[in-house]
Amino acid sequence: MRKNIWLFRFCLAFVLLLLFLQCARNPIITEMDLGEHSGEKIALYFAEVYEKEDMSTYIVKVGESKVKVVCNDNFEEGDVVSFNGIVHNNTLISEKHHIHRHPDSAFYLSIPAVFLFLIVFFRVWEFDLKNGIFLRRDKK
Amino acid sequence: MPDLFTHICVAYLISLALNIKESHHRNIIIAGSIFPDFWKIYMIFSPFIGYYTAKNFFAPLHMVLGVLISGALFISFFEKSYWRKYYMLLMIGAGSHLLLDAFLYPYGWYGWPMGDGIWFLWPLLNIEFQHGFIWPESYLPAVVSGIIVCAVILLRKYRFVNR
Repeated sequence: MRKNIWLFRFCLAFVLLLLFLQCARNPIITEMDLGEHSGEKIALYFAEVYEKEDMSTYIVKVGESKVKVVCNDNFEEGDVVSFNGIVHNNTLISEKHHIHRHPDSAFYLSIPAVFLFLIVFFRVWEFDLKNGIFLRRDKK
Repeated sequence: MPDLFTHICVAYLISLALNIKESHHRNIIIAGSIFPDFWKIYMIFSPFIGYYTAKNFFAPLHMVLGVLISGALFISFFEKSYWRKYYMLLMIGAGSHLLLDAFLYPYGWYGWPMGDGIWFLWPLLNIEFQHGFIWPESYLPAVVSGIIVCAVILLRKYRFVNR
């Protein structure tokens, strides 16, 4: 019986691994190439201002890609901004933008939530190492 | 994603709405509500295998098919007689997570460079979901859901005391 369960777990883990590999081999999250979108209206989310070239031209970093953006607002290096605009000559001409004052707030709010969850979860469940399953504490 | 605090609060409210009384059932729904965000383990691996490779590798954990499979794997670590029930509860929680994420601007992918959303149904369908209803760094969902949960807990306590 226990062998069957481990076989079941192995099969699921294998299928999951195949799914991971499929996504890694056919990436849906890729380096940005603005050239492919010339003339198109695109959105650029959570770009970090990397360098200020002149009064309205900025080099921004999204993931590991660097992109040139023209925007009339004034940003400092390190600001996180989302842009919406049209691509022209490998440059995004911003029409709308949104400055993210606290871009990591969701992350920082999540940390105590994880601890809260772990406390609540393990108040009800405990892991039985011998059988490799979670058991209810009130059933013991 | 909205923060996990919001996801947990919403999952708790869903468990109340479904009239789930047992704490271990409620726990499974809450576990499901944070389940899709396990894809963020890419952060640990990205220095070793590269940013985009790590992100793409773990991305299925935040998609319907990946959630269905990884959820089944997680539930297999519980007593076999409860698998079906726990799996349903876990999927309710995970479904609430994906649904909430669909209302955000595309932050779920962090470095998702452009586009309009998350490919929840990949590899079955390449359709992007996300509606740009609220910015993910907003405190509003956490505050609103936190207040509602506190009010519900107090109300339930008050009703219980006065019963």
